[in-house]
Amino acid sequence: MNIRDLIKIGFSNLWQTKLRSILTILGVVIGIGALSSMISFGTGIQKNITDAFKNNDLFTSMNVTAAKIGMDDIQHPDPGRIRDAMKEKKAPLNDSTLELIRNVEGVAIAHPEIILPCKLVMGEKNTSTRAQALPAAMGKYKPYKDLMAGTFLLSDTGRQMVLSWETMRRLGYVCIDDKQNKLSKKDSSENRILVNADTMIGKKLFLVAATIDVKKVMKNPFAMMNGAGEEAFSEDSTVFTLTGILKRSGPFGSGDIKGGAVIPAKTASEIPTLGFSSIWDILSPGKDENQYSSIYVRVGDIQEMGRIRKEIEDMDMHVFSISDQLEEIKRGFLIMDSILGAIGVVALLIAALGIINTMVMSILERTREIGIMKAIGGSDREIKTIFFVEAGSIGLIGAIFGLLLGWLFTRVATLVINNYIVPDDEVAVDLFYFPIWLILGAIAFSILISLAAGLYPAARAARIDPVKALRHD
Amino acid sequence: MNIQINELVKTFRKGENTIPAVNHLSSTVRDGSFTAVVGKSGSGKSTLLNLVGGLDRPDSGEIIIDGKNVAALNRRELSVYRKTTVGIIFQSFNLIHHRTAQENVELSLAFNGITGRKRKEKSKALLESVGLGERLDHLPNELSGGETQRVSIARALANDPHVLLADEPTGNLDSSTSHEIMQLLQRLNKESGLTIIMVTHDRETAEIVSDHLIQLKDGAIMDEKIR
Ligand SMILES: Nc1ncnc2c1ncn2[C@@H]1O[C@H](COP(=O)(O)OP(=O)(O)O)[C@@H](O)[C@H]1O
Ligand SMILES: [Mg+2]
Repeated sequence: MNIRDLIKIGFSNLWQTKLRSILTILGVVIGIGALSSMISFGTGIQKNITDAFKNNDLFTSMNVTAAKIGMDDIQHPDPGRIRDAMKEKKAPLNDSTLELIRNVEGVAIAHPEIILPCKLVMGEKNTSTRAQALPAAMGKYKPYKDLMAGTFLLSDTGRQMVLSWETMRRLGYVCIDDKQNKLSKKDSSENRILVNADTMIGKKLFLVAATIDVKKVMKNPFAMMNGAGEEAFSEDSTVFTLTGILKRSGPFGSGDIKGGAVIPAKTASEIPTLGFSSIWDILSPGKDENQYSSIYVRVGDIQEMGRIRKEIEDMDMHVFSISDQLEEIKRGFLIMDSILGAIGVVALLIAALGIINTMVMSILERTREIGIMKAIGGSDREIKTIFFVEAGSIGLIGAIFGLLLGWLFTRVATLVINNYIVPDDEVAVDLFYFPIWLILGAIAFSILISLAAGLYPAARAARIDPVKALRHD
Repeated sequence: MNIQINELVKTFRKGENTIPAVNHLSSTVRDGSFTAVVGKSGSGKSTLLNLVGGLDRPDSGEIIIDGKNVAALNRRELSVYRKTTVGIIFQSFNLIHHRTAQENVELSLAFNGITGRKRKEKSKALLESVGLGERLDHLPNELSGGETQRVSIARALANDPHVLLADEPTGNLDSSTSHEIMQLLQRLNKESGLTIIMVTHDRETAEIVSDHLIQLKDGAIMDEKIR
């Protein structure tokens, strides 16, 4: 018998016991629905984070520091570990090493990382943030490539400033974009106003940086704690012109990670600062031969990351890349995905028991029919195939409707999350993701499980003895 | 070609006892003959027919058809044998109840790999030849007993078997319908030269229709007449 006829017989068998077949399929629908929405959740979160990384070109950037200090050194219970790690450093970070890094083939841009904590004042409002000093050449890369309004820094000097959308909001201006065109309750209560981003370009604002006189502090460190050391601090304010506004970052965005404001690299060196500002500063003892605490490197091609990293490490410098952290994060996700997946698999296994039950019942009812088929020439294999078709169809139909159910569930969940959990002044999130591999994988898995469930019943059907099956009425 | 049965043995186990259902039976069924197997209930008639039909395997002995020993075939070869070499009909008809007359006949053709139009046409022709041209789309329970047995005869003949095996084909039918079925079997034997082995406990009918009569007792041949 050809496969088409066997499929027809399998289907007509299912059709004859409609109610039972539907209930069995429903079991698979629920199993696949659970499995797919669980995995969709795991993948969705992962995608959100990976996208956020991509939007900020984090995969193609790294930080070079002099001290060979890794996370494991910092977290290690023995403080001697950090000290030893620090002693290991060899090459200092200065203009000549910066030049060496710039000359490594494939390095698109390398600049010292300067981040200064500061206060921004615009009109009556002010906000505390960190200003990042960047070369104008960074305008070629995300997230500085396409701005919401204005342009990125035009030169490495001058009093130009680019602000993030979030900083603008904290300064009282909600820039209209495709995600938001009205004020949220919170915005209104904080007296913010809705503006068109373009109209803000060219506005003036003040950057206020605090300076600290280390000598004064060192003279009497305890005076600071009881407020007597006030005179060690002073504030300097500089006028800037707003040249550009960055796009709002996504739900897992990191636009503000390094600071809500960007100022030209050279300009930054003219502004008196606290002296230590980045984590690398705090970790490195004294200023010694290091001119910079950290150098930011961006590579042109992601494929070259490994090689470039190796070359810089061979210069006896330490390289830190956020994509290393992503590997850690991904491992964490793998565990989460596995747990979520396991729940779905259990649901599907229960459905498989349903399939076995249904098929065994079907065989008991059809013993005579199977006997007839064997008597007129049906082979063991053909009989088996008929039952595999039945099981496989249950799996296939169950998977299709299960995916539909899972997808519907994620849509409803997304609606609920965005309407009741995410505050209305935050970017809407979609925590679920249904990639094609999930859809095809779920279908394949469902069919596989169903066929496995059909193994025993099919073998049992094939073993039916026609003489016994046909003996009496 | 003749069917050669040599020293055939089939025993069943029932608790402590073993029942010799077929006991060292040997015979030759001539090609084109109408052989009737008679005997009391429990004498081993059905068991013998099932062995010849390849539905069951003997403990020992051989059944030679077309130069092949059916007793030595493996499961796969047996299913091919059942599909192509023999056709079988039963007292209780054994049609698939949710399939129409034509579909029942088609199923047999389908197992033999015949598809599409050819299958439709052949099943229709077969049913017409047993006088059921008007009953193609009827379900078994919409047919009379005689009609149902005709459908099963059409099905048994679907793949042009060398021998038709019939296990009490009229056992569930009234006498006039039985007579019609007997006439149909006789016609098939005479006109198409089909070899028929028929089990019956109706000795009278057996004497009339057969040209080879085997009488069984306790699984062995008690009497054998060839005309
Ligand atoms: N599957 C079986 N298990 C045990 N005994 C059986 C089985 N099939 C047949 N027998 C026994 O074998 C003998 C012959 O049976 P059968 O061939 O059906 O006789 P008949 O068809 O002549 O009435 C009987 O005694 C019957 O009880
Ligand atoms: Mg019998």
